[in-house]
Amino acid sequence: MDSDAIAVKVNITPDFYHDRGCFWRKMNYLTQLYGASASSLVVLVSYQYYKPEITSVQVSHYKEALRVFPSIRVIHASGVKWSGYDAELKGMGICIFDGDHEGGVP
Amino acid sequence: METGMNSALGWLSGLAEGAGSAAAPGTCADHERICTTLACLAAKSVGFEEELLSHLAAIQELSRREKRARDVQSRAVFAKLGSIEERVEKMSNGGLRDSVLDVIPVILQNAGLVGVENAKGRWAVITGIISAIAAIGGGVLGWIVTRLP
Repeated sequence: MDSDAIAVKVNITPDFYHDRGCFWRKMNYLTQLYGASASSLVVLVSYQYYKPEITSVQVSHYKEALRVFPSIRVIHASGVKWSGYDAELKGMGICIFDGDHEGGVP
Repeated sequence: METGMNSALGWLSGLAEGAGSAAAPGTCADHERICTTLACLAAKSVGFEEELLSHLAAIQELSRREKRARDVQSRAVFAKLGSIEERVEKMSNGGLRDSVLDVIPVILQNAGLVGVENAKGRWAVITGIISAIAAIGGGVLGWIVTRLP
């Protein structure tokens, strides 16, 4: 990982799927909390505590989020793969890690 | 999943998964729902704790970097003031030299207040600058008076 980057974690939990707009609320909190420093953050979105299937709508959410947070990493629960979507996320510049690697953070 | 909290999460998730199976005798729909809810709450709690700690670490790192940048800026200001002081020492006019030398500690004292983001801090800086200008003006006037025939 880039030594200048500052990692912050967003854990995806079941309420992200029951409570509409939860993802964007969390992104808003991050922009309010870090302000101008938001661009120097590495946002680690972790699915370690919840392992849902991803949809194309959620992939488009990542595209939007990348406009504010240029560095986003996805951490899968151990052994989870999203066939097709993993490649799409990687194509957008999002690195994908297995749960054991903690998003490349030492 | 080594911490106590995560063990609780594992235990509750296990209960939720086993609630409807034969491995958990005497369960009912309510029991299953309670276990699922508890597992969700435990996941949310552990996730939140982790997130919070990551934010605290990030904020601390940002503040460390800001402090480092401020220190570099202060060092540059002090170096510049030092060189000004050195040049002032060589001035031939005693009155003007003393006035300018009196001003330098005022500037140094206020240099630390430049970053203060409140009205009091700004006021202190403005007052310092005014007194510095007045001191220099006094020195210049004194020098002019000594030059008059």
